[in-house]
Amino acid sequence: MKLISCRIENFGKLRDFTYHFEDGLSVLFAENGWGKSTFAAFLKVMFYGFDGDNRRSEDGSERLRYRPWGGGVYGGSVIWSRGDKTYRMLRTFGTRRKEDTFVLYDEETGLPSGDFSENTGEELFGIDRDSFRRTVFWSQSDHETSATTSIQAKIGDLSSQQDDLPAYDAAVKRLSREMERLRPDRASGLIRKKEDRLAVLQADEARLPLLKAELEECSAKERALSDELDNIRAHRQHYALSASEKTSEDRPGKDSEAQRRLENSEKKLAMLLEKDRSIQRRGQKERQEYLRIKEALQRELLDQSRQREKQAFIMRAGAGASAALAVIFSVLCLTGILPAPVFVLSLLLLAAGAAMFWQSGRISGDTPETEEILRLREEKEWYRDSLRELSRKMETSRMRLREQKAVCAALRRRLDRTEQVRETNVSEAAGQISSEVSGILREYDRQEEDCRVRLQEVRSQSEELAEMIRDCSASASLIENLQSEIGTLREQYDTCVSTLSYLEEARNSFTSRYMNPFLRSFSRYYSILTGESADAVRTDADFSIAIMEEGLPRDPSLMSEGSRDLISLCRRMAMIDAMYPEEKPFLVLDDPFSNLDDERLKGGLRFLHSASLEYQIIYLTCHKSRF
Amino acid sequence: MKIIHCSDLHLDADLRTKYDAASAAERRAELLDTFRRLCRYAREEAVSAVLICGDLFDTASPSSSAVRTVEDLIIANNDLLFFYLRGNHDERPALFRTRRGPENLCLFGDDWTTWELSEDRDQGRRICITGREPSNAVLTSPELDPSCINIVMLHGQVREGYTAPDPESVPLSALRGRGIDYLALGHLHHFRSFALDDRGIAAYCGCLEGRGFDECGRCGFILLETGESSHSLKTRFVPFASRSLYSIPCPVTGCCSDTEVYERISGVLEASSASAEDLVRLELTGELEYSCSPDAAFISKEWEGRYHYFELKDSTEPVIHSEDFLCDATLKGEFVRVVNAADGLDSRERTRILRCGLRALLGESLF
Repeated sequence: MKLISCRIENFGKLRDFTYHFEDGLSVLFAENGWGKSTFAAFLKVMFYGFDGDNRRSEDGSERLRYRPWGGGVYGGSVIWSRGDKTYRMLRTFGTRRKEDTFVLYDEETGLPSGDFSENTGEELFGIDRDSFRRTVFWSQSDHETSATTSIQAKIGDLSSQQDDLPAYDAAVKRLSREMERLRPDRASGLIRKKEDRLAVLQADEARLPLLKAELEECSAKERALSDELDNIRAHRQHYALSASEKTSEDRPGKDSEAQRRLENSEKKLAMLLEKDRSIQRRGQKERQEYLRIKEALQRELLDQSRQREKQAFIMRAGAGASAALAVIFSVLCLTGILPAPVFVLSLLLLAAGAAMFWQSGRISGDTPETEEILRLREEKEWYRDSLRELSRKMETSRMRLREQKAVCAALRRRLDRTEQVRETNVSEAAGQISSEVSGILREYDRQEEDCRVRLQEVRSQSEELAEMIRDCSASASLIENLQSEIGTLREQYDTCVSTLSYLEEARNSFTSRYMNPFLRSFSRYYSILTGESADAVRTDADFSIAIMEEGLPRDPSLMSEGSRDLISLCRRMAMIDAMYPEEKPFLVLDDPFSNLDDERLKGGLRFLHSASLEYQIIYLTCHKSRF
Repeated sequence: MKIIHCSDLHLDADLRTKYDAASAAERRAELLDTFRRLCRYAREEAVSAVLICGDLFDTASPSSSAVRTVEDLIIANNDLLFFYLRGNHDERPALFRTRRGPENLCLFGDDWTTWELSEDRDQGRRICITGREPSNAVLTSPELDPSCINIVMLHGQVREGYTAPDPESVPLSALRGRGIDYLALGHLHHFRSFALDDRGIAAYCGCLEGRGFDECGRCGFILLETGESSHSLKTRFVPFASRSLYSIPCPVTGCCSDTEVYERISGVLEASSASAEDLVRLELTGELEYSCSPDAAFISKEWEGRYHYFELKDSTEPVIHSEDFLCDATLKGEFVRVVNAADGLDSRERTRILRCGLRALLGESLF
């Protein structure tokens, strides 16, 4: 890569400026204030654009800083070559990036070229702007030379595998983040949080035996109280029963003499009643018999009467017939129909009729009763007499009953009166006993209630303990899972730590392959610049430099500015050598030796001449002695 | 006569190691409902007795609401006799409303206790239920009437020979030749049946409803029926759980990408017999390339809606073919070489570091 020429239209204080570059060393000597740094910045901006485009202040924004003082087209062009192709690159800059223009021409054909985009610098050099400033481009204000990933990747020549080292950075970040997340030694770390939680669960679990023992105590108390309650109830019941029986036994006895008399009287009454009933039964029986006989007699009499009536009727009918015949005959005789002797017949008939009529009267009159009738009458009379007798007996019996009942009643009344008096006395005594018993029963009730309350309290306590045991048991059941989880997290943390370490080792090993050439280059440039060997120089995979002094590495940042610049330059060159083993880039060095003393300045000049044999160097300085 | 032999219901278990608080409460209610269904089954099938061989509750201090529910169910089914033998989890007597619990609940103690179920005295078929709760004292042989149908209830792990006193051991030597027709066991959560001696058999009915993935397969109870002859007992395992648990292995060896892993998972789950009511654990097994890292959150989200409960367990071993990196000139290759050359690392640790480092360089999640 070589710069051929450039033209600045307007850039900072530079305007309408054209410069042609030499192949090897191009020296731009100008006094202070001419715009050397502006020129160097122009070259950088043409390839890499402005720094700090998002910033508003001039200090922060190159775009603002290099805005043409006198107006006009802000920009310019550069003609440069790579390999066998030459390009003309034109850029103009607006107030914002989107107003910028970029055109690339193939210088030979004059036609636009698409070989590079507006990100020309990255495509051409293969590094980002930051890496460009640390290597190819030396500005007065920025001497940072630490190796970026891009530089390392370039040094590793891993353009096709460039993702490895950026991936390493990302991997390291990810591992670090994970370790930070898990850190067991920080309260915010997940492992620590889990362990704190585990401690809480284990504390809960540790409480279990004590809680169970307390619950067992409560259960024992509960059983005891339950037994006590049963006992109290049993005692109360037993006492109540005993008190009731005792009250009955203690009553004074009834008046036994009066009772005996009453009993005898009642016995007598019972006998009289039985006798009375007997008389009544007999009376009923005989009455029935009497009635039966009476009925039978009546029937007999009726029969007899009917007989008589019948006979009388017959007689009367005969008498009537005879009389009728007699009359008829008489008439007939008188009339001469019948002979006179028939008149005698009629008289006889008349007489017979009269006799029959008189006979019928006799039948209707007192007729002697039949034997049956007589017998029945006698029997009836007997029963009637008997009934009278019975009636009399009954009357007597009733009277005796009444008397005896009166006696019994009197005895009973007397006994009752006696009993009442006795009962009253007993009740009064019983009342006294009852209040004592009530008092004791109330005491039992109080004890029962007290016991019940205590039992309920113990049961509530048991419930609470059981609830706590359940919660603690639940905690305990989570312990195993949590321990397993913590174990896994610790394993992950340890894996991250180990992985980070081995990854770093791998990276160091990986980049150390390219460190040797770097070290060789550094040594060479160091020798050129200092005239000394670089045996005391040490480097690492970051291409950091340390100088060994008395066996200890000395950080160059602690050295003088001149020494630092010197080492910085060697380092840059060593990196550039490693980064561009084939096609060499051009270098822009803006007064790199301003801090060197005269002795070292000689070394610097030696370096310029030596390096320019290999590289196109655009060297800017304001002091003649430095070139 | 029909008798149910069940055990290890573990009612009122906490379950928060698997579920959040709300889901755990829901699942606890389901376990209680299984007991309710058992009582209903017993009623409908004219069962005479239910033997609960231990661990009815999951803890020694179950909640009073759970105890009340069980107590109320027992009281409501007062035609049934419940024989409750405590196990190693429900070691403390449950806090029933009365000291001895419902009238139709028969309890046991530290010494052998016998209850009699008289089926048909005329036929001479007396059934005796004898049991002893776990205790630190040595397990003596029970005194049994050989003329009865003897059912013995115990809770613990069966052991051959005579063992030192241990509440969780059941020495079979103390039980053989004692006239036992059926040894009803609890403690193990899977069904198992074996001959005890010339006369009787022993059986673990397993848990009634599974809770964890060590209880996969069928869960239920054993139904016993007295037979024609005086000492015969027919037994039958009855699956009864409302939900089944499946631990399904999914070998992913050979999968080269996360997509292939997801497809393998789909195939395995589609082919399984797990239903939407069930609990499923999918276990990735085998070896997985370091570049493969199936997104557990994505898989869980994809499948958890299809089952009552879904969890993913990654038991894969990462595989790294170090020989592929021998000539790898990149940083990855250098890293593999450095780790393989390191001393003091065991193979698992080495594999973990390699996987972590390579995944970090690839920009993938580290674990």
